[in-house]
Amino acid sequence: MSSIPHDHVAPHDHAHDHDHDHAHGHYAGGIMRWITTTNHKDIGTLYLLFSLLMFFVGGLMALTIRAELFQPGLQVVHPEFFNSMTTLHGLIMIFGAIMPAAVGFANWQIPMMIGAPDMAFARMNNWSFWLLPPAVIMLMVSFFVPGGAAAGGWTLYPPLSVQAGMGMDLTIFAIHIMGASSIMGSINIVTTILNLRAPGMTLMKMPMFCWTWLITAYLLIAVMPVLAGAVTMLLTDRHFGTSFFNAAGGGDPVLFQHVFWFFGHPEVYILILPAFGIISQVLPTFSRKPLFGYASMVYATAGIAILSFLVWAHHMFTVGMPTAGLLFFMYITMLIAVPTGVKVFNWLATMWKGAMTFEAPMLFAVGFLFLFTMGGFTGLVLAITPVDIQLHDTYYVVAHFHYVMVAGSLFAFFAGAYYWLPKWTGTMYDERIGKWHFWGSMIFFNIAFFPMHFLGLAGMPRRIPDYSQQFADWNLVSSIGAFGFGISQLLLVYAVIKCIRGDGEKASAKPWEGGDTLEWTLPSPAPYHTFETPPVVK
Amino acid sequence: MGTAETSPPEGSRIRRANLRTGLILAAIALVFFVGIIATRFIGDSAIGMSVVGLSILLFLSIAIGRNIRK
Repeated sequence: MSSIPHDHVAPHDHAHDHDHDHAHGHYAGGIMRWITTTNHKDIGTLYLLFSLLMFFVGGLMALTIRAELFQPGLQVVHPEFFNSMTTLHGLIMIFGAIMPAAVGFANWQIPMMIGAPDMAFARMNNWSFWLLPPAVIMLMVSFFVPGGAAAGGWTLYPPLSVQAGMGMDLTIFAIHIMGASSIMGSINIVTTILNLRAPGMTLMKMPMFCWTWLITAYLLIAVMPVLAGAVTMLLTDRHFGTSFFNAAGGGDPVLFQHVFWFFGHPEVYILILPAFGIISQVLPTFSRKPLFGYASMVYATAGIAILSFLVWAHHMFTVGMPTAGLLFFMYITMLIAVPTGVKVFNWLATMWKGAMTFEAPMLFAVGFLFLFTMGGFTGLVLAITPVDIQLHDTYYVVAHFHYVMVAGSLFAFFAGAYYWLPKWTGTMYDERIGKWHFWGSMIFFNIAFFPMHFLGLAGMPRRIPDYSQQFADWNLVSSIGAFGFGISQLLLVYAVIKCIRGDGEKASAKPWEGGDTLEWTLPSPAPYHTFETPPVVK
Repeated sequence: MGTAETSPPEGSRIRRANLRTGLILAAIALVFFVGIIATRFIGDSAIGMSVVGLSILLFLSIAIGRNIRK
């Protein structure tokens, strides 16, 4: 069971938490509080604010791309800069926005949901976060070095990445640093969940969000070192005379693709599994029913994680491989639809005959369910080898992964933000703004990305600054949608600022009637130190 | 009060357990990092990749499987 009815949790003395805050909650004032903090809530806040900032940085890059593609011809940026924009947009959104956002949610929520006082390695937690800003600064500085920023796509394929300028070195170092940060964060999360759960909180009683993060953290520990190994080999090929991927020296450029996607496909699930966890918390709360099929959800998540290691070559159907290989990767990719389908149907069954209300978190969760499923279906289309060979590197692929990443991960994070903002800040968000944010995002997202399916089916290649006249109409529509989507996100910033400033209705300890996990037993805002004496879950 | 008290010896036991878990996980990450580079030197890339891939799968299966039983 995922839900823990409050009468099953032994009473906990929250007054003690408050007293502790005032008596022993020593932390430096001003900026030093944030630099030296080891508190999971502070670090969660840092991660979330950092990811919000990066979301806008990556978003501005996306808008530059869409401005250039507004009409055929070259009018806004040089083609080389356009290529850097597509590359850095991908890297920043994945490593700077989505992953840190997921870690931010984990930092805030996991200790509170399992009844732990903090993360297992509090100092390493601080270090994990503070590695990120230098890494992103390196990426941004790469625009100003000779040769400009990396421009070969976020996948960094050789031979382009072996031949590129100094910007590629900065990108490689940035990836190393962000990877180290992710591995440290994952070790922290796994250790916290395995060793610091409250008495009585067995693994199969944990909230689904903790389960999805436990499995995500295992995935990260397994694949981030693989990416680090790949880019290390790239670096030695560039500067130390090795020939891992250099065909002229006996190396194999295709090997990089294999190694990269061995990391890259599990990475897709690293980005989406925490989102699944958030949706699994939000839907039951606003349906006022327990999550349907909790155990099957856990097994499905584990199944997705294991299968994610067996499908990497579906990204490379066009590089050439034996027919048996094509068939194996096609069928295994399709097989992932089974555990994913289990999750989707369980979410629907959770909502079935529930006493549903549609506040902003629920709207985003339902939006996620609808759009993520569409993204999943186009993924199934791309899994079919002969179809993929036709659609490879077209805008159909761009549409597919934005339905998964934006309408999937991002919509779930929006749902999570509105869901937990009252607990984090002690102030209810402005429901009207939340709903406007949802409808703006939902409508403009589809205007921006749905036409890309048509463009891809018509054969428009990705990563080009100019295109044939036949693609003009849908590109214009798509660009309008992208700018609308970008502007809609300012509403989120406004809602968050209002909550942080306390401008709104004061939140009760349990603002959502259906919320039944441990964090809702704490006052709002959650005290600086919580569960120093662990609660007993019966 | 219905809360579980954490005595100092219990605290140090938890710290030791945390350190042990953390070191095991860090060692696994290190092995995968070195392993993926070492595969290139095994001779046949396919064999090397398969060895690393299977070891990662084994790690995941055991890690997830052990936890599900609890």
